[in-house]
Amino acid sequence: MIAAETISNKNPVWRITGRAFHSGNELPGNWRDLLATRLGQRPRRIGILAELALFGALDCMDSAGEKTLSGDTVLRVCSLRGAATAIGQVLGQIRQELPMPFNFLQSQPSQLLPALAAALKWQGDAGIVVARDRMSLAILAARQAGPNGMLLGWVEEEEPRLSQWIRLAPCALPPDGFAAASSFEKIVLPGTLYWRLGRAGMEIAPVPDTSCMKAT
Amino acid sequence: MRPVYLRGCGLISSLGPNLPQAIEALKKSGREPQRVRLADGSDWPCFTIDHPGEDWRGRACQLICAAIAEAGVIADRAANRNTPLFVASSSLDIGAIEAESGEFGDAFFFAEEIAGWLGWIGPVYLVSSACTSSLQAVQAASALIGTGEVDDAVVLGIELSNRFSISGFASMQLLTPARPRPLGAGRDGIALGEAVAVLHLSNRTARWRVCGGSNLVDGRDPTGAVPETVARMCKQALSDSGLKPSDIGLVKLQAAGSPTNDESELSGMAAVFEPMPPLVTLKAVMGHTLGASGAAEIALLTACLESGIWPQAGYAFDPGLRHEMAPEKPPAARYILADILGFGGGHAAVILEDTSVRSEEDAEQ
Repeated sequence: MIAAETISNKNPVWRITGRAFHSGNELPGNWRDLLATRLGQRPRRIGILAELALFGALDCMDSAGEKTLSGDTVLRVCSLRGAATAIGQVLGQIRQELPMPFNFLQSQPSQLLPALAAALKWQGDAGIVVARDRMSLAILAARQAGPNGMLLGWVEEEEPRLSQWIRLAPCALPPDGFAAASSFEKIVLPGTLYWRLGRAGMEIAPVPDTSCMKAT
Repeated sequence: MRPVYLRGCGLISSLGPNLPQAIEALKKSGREPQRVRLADGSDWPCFTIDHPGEDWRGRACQLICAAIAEAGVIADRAANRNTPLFVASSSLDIGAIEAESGEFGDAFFFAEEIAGWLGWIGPVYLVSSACTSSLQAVQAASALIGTGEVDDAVVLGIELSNRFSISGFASMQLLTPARPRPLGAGRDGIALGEAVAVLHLSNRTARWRVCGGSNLVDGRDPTGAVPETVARMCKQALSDSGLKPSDIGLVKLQAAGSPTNDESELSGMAAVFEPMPPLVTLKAVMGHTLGASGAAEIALLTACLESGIWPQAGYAFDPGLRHEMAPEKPPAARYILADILGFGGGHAAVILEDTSVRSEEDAEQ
């Protein structure tokens, strides 16, 4: 096994080790039941956004063959609409002049972060960072990624409902054949295995390589 | 990694429409919070910005443009069209949606609206990780500058009036009915505040250098600080900055006046710092400005250190905490740790270096 220390800090290469792309009709109709089964109980005091994030992230971790993240992993979540359902409920309660909103905590998108941290039995650098351009978010996450890579998620409650996750781990012996990625869709294609940051932005390589391994 | 400097700051808060006036207000012991009345008749203190504005969005536009101008961003920005803008906020434009009786739609729309007001050309990011948003934005911006991706980046922390946040914090019984007393005897809660704060970060040399930082989310308590995680946050920030605890000459605490959180924070700090460096908290004079607080408090703190004007608590400290706020500016604090703790299990810190102190030390050697 190649030690993580040998990985170049100057221009690291990341290998996609797990994916979970649930969107619209591809999301199982009983996803909340599946999540409750997975967690051993229904999540309490978190909203739909956090539940969706948990469902996709845990599926992605399964795909990566990991049960928890190491401390040096960066976790970033993007949600353009945020906790829209709970925000709408709180706004409604305020407009009805109810004294105190019942769903305030659920209206805070950041509440999905401790839910993820608890489910992954992890403590680390996590944040909600949003941009319309998904590629720019991927590049920013890669710039901040720690020695054990990153877990990136895009989660929306509606229009369409989605929970898309990708896990990237450092790659010690990267392949040749990197090319500039023209779009976000290209960097998450099933045939894409490697990311690295070049002068012109994100570069990707599709070549399978068994010499790369996840940092543990 | 290239060094990252704090090249300019802007701050509009309850203390005034810019940093010089905020310092003047501090000389006169700050300003009293206003009262905001909720539907049930309860009213709560809130450190509001004294700026009427035509409507919520018009007021926001005026305040943002003024804070950006104070930080000197407009002239500098022309030099690099790739300069990213990091908008950091908890409540976004929810105050406008309340006023317009509208529906919440796209969270990123507000960041794009701000970019439009500023004529911003570079990439725009929104960091909405509750109270730690601004410090996370500083760390993201520093990563881009440090790795050479960009030469400059701007962090805009913004938290403006809305009933959504006050109602929410009131419902969780987190607000004080009077004035907040961070680290104070009998402290009974926090008071919210408005702020628009701008930090212009750059690889070009300036007095304040961003040495490093840390950001940790702990799932054990979604609404409060965990002492062990506070300690780990400090250790990681020190390690990231290549420093040891004894290098820190001042700690700017989160301390907002919460009975339990203030204690948890100090408990975590005490596990790292022995002896404890001088401490300061700014929430007694500005309130808790949520997602803007990291940027707002760095802007005000650096202005206090540059001017020598020091915030005064004006109340008795809690002897049970064993530590209290420094009564005056520490004489030569070269490295300063500033932390923010918040909703979402967030524990974030950055360490700043006052390079003018380094110069004095170097001259003495």
